[in-house]
Amino acid sequence: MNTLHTKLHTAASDRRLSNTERALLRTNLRSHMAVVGSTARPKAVRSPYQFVVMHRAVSFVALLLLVVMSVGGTSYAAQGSLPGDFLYPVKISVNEQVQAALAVSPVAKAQVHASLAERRLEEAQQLAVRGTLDATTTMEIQQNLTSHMDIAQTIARNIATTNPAASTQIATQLSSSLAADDAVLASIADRSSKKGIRRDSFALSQAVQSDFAHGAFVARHVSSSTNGFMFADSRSRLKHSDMRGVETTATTTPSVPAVVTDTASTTATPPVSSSAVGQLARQAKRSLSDVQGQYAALGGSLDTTTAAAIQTRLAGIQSQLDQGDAALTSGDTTDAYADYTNAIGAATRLQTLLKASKRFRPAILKQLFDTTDMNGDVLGTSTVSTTANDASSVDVPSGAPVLPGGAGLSHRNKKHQD
Amino acid sequence: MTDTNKEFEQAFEAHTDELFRHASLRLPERERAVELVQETFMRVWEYVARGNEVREYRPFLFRTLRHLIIDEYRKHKTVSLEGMMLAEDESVERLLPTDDTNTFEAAVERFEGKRVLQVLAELPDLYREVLLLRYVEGMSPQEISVVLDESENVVSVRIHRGLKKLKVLLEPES
Repeated sequence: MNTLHTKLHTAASDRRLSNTERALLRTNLRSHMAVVGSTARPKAVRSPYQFVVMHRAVSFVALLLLVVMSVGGTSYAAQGSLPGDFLYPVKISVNEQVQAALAVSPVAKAQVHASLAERRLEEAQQLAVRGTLDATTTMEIQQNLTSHMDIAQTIARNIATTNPAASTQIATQLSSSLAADDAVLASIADRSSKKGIRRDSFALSQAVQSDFAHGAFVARHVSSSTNGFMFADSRSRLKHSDMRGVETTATTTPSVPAVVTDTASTTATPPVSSSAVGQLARQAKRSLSDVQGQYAALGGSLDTTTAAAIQTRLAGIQSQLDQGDAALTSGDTTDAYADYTNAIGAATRLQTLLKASKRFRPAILKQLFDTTDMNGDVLGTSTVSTTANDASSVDVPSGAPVLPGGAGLSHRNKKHQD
Repeated sequence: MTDTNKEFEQAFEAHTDELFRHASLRLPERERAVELVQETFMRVWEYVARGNEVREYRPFLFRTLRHLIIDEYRKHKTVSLEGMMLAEDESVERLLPTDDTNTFEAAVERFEGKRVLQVLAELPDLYREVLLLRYVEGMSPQEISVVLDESENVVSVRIHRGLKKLKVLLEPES
């Protein structure tokens, strides 16, 4: 026998069906054989056993898992658990695994993993509010968050050339939602009387930021800034004194490892295709209408100032979209692409904050709405004016984007970034 | 009738594993590979049940699976069809000296098995398919020619070119 064959055959030997899968296949096949039978004509009628046997399009393993799990209410009960709870492992290892398995396309998978990463931060928020966030739970959360985030980022990177719009969407939504949730976490921690909570939430935030940057990438045709992770507002609220004794290898503005760039993009960025821009435009508009719907659903539960702030942001996103449309009409596809990307980022951010507003007291959100703008930049530092702003209470350089070279959100925001 | 059933069931037991292995190396998602294997058997059964005879199940099964995979690519367009269909004129190269293919085989063999499989995934599907059939499933060029419905010469040329591309992809890294 050919030796290369032996080698590769062995290397591929781990690709096999499990016994369960095989048994399932056999059963399905037998049913099919019984129904189709060996008599002449090809059947025109669908097998009546189909619904019992499982529609061919459905994933076997995932369904099997669901069946196993839904016996008893364990998986349902586990869903609301937090790190440290007895049922938390069920949530992480069972429920969420099934959720991930049910997503078939790469884009769907990326979205599931991104939402799971976000969920970890939401859990951290809950723990912080209860005062039970500690080093152990922080570590647990961070590890799981990073692994889901990595998967989402990897998918985004992998589809960057074949589906740039989806790739940008995934990356932008990931960074915006994580940054927004991190801001909420910082806001909660800031109010906590426990120093440990403030310290641990800061450590978590640092770790997430660093891990994110490590896996971030720069899509070739997108300006380097749109995949950044803006932590500006969250850092600015932490009291400086809390950072003493926090063991980080970085200084207060962490030095972020260089964003991984596509090596082919050193010179001119190739123009983005019109179909990609179109796709992104549609997604951007959908994002805006989603968040508008969400806001409408909140009804009158917000105070007038916050409501006004939200409306201003919604208008801001709309004008960003208009700007994109205008750029597109004048043939500026790269600019249009950046505009739509920013719109998606701002809309996702707002959505995340609105979701948080249902979980926490208004005061927490109010602070964020009052002090930051729709892109997460701290108000007062992002204008062109050189007048000293009220930075005396802010000990951490704020508004500083976390990308080397200080490239903030795309120049299209017409904001001055230092 | 019972004979056909029995034969078919035997074919199931004998070939499911290799069909799945092949499908999972051609498709990005495992669940889809499982589904396509089931679909393959069901279609072949329908064919047999209509009164047709299948003399050799193995190539017939692989052929059916192959068509399902092509349909899958068309649906999802994750692989450009050009990448799949690209066949520089394969009839031009006549019977190649077998040493040449052996040389390439030896060159590829120097690399770690898992790595080779990884890199194989980067080849255009046209070459990947034939290399998998040859070197993972161990089919002879003659068997492969039945599966692909191409002449043996075309199969040999494709294997040769595939190995060459594979070698090139493997080498810069080492």
